[in-house]
Amino acid sequence: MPSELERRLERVLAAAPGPDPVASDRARRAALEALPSPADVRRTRRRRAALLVAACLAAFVSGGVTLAATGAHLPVVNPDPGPQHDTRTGPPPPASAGLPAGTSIWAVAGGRVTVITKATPARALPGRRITAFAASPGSLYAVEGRGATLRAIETRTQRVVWRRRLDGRPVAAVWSPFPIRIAYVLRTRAGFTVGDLWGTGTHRFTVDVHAAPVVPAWRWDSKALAYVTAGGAVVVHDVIGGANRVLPRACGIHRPVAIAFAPAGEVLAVADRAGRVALVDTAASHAPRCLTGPAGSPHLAWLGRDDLLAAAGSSLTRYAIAGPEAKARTVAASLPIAGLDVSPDRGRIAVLLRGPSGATLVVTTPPRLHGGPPALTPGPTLLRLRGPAQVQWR
Amino acid sequence: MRAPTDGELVVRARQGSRDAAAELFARHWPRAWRMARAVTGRRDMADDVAQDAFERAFAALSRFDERRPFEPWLNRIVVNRSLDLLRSERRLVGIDSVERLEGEWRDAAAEDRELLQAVSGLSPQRRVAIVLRYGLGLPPAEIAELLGLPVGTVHSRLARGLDDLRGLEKERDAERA
Repeated sequence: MPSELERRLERVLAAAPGPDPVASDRARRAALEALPSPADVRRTRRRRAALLVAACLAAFVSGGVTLAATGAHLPVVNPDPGPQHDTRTGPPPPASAGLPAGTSIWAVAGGRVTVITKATPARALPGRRITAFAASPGSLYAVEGRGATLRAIETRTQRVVWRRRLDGRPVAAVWSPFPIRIAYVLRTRAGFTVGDLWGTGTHRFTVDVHAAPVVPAWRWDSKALAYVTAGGAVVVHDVIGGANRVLPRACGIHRPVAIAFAPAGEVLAVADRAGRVALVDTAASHAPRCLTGPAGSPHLAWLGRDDLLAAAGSSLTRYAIAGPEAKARTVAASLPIAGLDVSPDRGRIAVLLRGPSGATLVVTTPPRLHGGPPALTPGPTLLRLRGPAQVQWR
Repeated sequence: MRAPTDGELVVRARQGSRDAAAELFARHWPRAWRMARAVTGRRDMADDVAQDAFERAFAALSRFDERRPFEPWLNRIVVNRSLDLLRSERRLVGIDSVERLEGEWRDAAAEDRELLQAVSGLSPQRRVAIVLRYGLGLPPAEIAELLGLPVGTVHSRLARGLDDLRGLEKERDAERA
């Protein structure tokens, strides 16, 4: 039974003034503006249906492949490991091997974007003074930051699809794995701001106005992104509900400079310049796994959900994290590594090697975990670039 | 004529009906605002948070399952946004809010004003629990779900909040005596 105090509280708090009519009207207009158009809704549904069909198809194909590969005997979970063989990486491709069909490598340097596909060795796009660039998965669209504007282009025709004025200069942009959202980092007078908007250029949200200039990372399901705050904390932002979760500092990392979500699951790799890499399961509260590799400005890329690449300085380390003990193998590169990305089929890697006169883009296979040469075996040089460069393989 | 349910309004809003979306807004705005006010403790922050929550909710309407109740989903967004804002601004209710409170409730009886001041002076955790429970009438289980806390913690915060308020009242009575 409520006490006298509880009854008074109910009465007094219920009589509290409500929202101001002006604020209510402003909110009403803003909320109605945020409504997706029916065309957007139809597109989202079509995309969902297509993803469902694709997922079913992938499951069907992979099931068939598994059955065929195992002589129609499905593998048991956690079988006796026996002797370990790394079957993921084969010998490096012949020097004449081109890129896999349907994929594109995008390199950004000196404010210009160059694309390489199987059909076109290297083609510079017309835009200049580009400060941020991200190609969508599948490379149908790309988003470019220039001045205080973010604009999307259709990559095939170079047609500008939309243009959005922002409150600062974009310094990084990333498409979500399902290409429905774009996260970006802006440089503003006050520092760095992380935001996200839909792939249609609408529904822009400011996520944090006190961020660090670290490229955000999307979770595989495109429902959350991770970013680094100005204070060095790593935050996972739920783009649907808007909740932020600050991850506890892990493995002595106080200034993360690279983050990357695994391609499946909720493990986030966080790296600093000292060579520390923390693997944080953002869905669970158990302690992170701490890895240590060579020091240097790190670049992270996942080959699989338990297979991480970390480049720093002139070293590339591959970590296999499936078991309780992580296996690691470091190989040396001929030059410092300035960029790294994995092909969409995760079988090859694109590496930017920084030399005295610029960067060189090469494609090669990931280092083997067991055996294999002690140095990175670069494939053919695809491109030479001047100035700071980045690489994306889509 | 039967008023459309929230689910029906969501479906129509998705199909492009601004009237349906406006109706959804009108139904839920006052309570969403009060919830934002309860958590942040400030009118100006509540305006921003509740607006932002509605923008996010409407933008995500195509992904909302209309068979589920709309209000808890919206409330969750409101509370999450409120807590995020408080954390990011590190601006948990201070003395300025008490002054504002006095202005807002200047017509209230002196005893009621004192009670509101006392609520405003509670620690943020206890204040949020008290205002959600007694101001918005939410049961402890719902508060626990909204704040992502065990129900026992909510009960404990409510009990301690009430104890604090009783203590303050006793102090005031003693001063008057």
